[in-house]
Amino acid sequence: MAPFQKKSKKTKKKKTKKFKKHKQVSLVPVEPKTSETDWWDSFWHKNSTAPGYSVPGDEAEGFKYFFRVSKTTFEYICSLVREDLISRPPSGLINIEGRLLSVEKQVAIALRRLASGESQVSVGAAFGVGQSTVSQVTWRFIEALEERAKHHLNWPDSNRMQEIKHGFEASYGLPNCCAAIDATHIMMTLPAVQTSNDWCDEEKNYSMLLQGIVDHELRFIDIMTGLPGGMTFSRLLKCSAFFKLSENGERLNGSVKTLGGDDIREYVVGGYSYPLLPWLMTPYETNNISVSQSNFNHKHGAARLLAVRAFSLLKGSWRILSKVMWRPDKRKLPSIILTCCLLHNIIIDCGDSLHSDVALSGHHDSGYKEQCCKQVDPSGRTMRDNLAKHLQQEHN
Amino acid sequence: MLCSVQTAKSGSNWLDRLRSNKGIPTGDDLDLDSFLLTAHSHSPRARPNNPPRARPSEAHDRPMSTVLAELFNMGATLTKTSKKCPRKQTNPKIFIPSSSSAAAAPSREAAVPEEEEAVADRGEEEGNELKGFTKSEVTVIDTSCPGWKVDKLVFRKNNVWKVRERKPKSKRKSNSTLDVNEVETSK
Repeated sequence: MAPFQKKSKKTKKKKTKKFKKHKQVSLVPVEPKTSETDWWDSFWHKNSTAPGYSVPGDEAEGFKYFFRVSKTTFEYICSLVREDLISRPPSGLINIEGRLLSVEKQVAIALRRLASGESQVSVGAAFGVGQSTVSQVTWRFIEALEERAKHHLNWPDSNRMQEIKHGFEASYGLPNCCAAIDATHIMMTLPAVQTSNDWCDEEKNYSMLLQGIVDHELRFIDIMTGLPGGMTFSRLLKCSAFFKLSENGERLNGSVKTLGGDDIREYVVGGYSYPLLPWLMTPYETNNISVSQSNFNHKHGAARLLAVRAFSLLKGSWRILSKVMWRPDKRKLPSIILTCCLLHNIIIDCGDSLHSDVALSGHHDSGYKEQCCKQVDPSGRTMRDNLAKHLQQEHN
Repeated sequence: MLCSVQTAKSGSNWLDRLRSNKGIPTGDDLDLDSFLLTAHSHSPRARPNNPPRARPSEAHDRPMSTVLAELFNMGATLTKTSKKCPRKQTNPKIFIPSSSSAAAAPSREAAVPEEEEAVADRGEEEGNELKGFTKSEVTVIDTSCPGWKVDKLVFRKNNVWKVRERKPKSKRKSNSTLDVNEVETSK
């Protein structure tokens, strides 16, 4: 009987890896349930009056100040990653008393690291843990969230797209507009041995690009990151799956609006950095333009600002992206960027309101001149002229 | 050959080595007049330190770098046996910068390099095409791609970029190559 039991155990072990890990967890004393809020009490006590911070007196606002999210949203994020963070406890995640770090404290450490962009040592000091714990906890959180929160960042279905298009038309008068596109540089330093011109951009910084497509509520509905900062935004676009899908008619292929006999298909709006394409509207060049063209530029510019604002909010909320990252692993950096975008969307989806001073005060890509892409597609030009004509008729 | 020269030259100064290498007599008691008169006879006495050469005809036509290498012990790597790679493309292609959407649309190639080494093994055309390009391995996250994460190779030469998919585990070739050349202006 005994050998049979042993065999069945063995096969079970293989099948349920997570179960095995849970068993290991139980060997180490887990902090009691009540202690899960203790981290906040001690953190608040320690940091609310720390020099260098202008922490709001109200505790709920103070929570948002440090972690960007409300307590309710924080709990939601914990629920997303709980299984991953609780089931794999390496020895490094045991606190000084020999107890496992609670999921809440791990999430708080990771959020604080991403939100502040402060060094791992400083973040560790704020929580009473070491630098390596901050490093491990943050990376585990990123790995977990990029798997568990995928549903917060996806291309909208047709129903949702209708809402977005209504939103754009109501706010900016642009019919059939689906999104705004922009890109930004995430700056970093590289180890001397890895220094490569490929990562060197036009401003002589080492950087990685992030392209984002944003809906009318500042939510990212598509991102691409990981390519070197030396590329132009137009080149970056052409490397994206979004470009390929749109060119092949597999995206932005929803209902066409007929206005005054002209067909207006679905499109996104972008700046001078982008080519003028049938599905990507760019502004008219400002020299010698007509009234209708100027009117188009005005409305187009307002809609395009959504993407600019989204990036300012993203980089302001998750300051790890706006500071110069110190020798990041270039394979891991895209995951860090993605996680910040996911958190940005989660905040919007959960209905949290951010402090107005969280967003960057300047442009999200300050220090970089706006690029100019000269590429003009003839049918894109026709489409833009039709839009300008329609907007002028509406205006009159 | 090199070794024997080095052995023979030990103890002599550089001028002696140069002289002996060129078949000029060395030592304090030089009789250069008689040497010049008999220079074309190649008497064995005139080149006492030189062993018989396997390819004597090369001795007179050797490039200076080889002679210097032998004289100053610069190592065997500088001998003329190392083959130089051609600097320019043997079959240069015409490069057309894209100015319309049709030209800028992703073109597809049948073969994709799977690994770093595979890039070099793709044949002469590919090798020449990527000559002068720097290469970076990148991890791209694109939420419009299935699975979101793709390992890619980025090749760059000034404003020309080539982005290719990299599949380190698979040896099969796929058609999913994005290979677009473009030169763009920046304001």
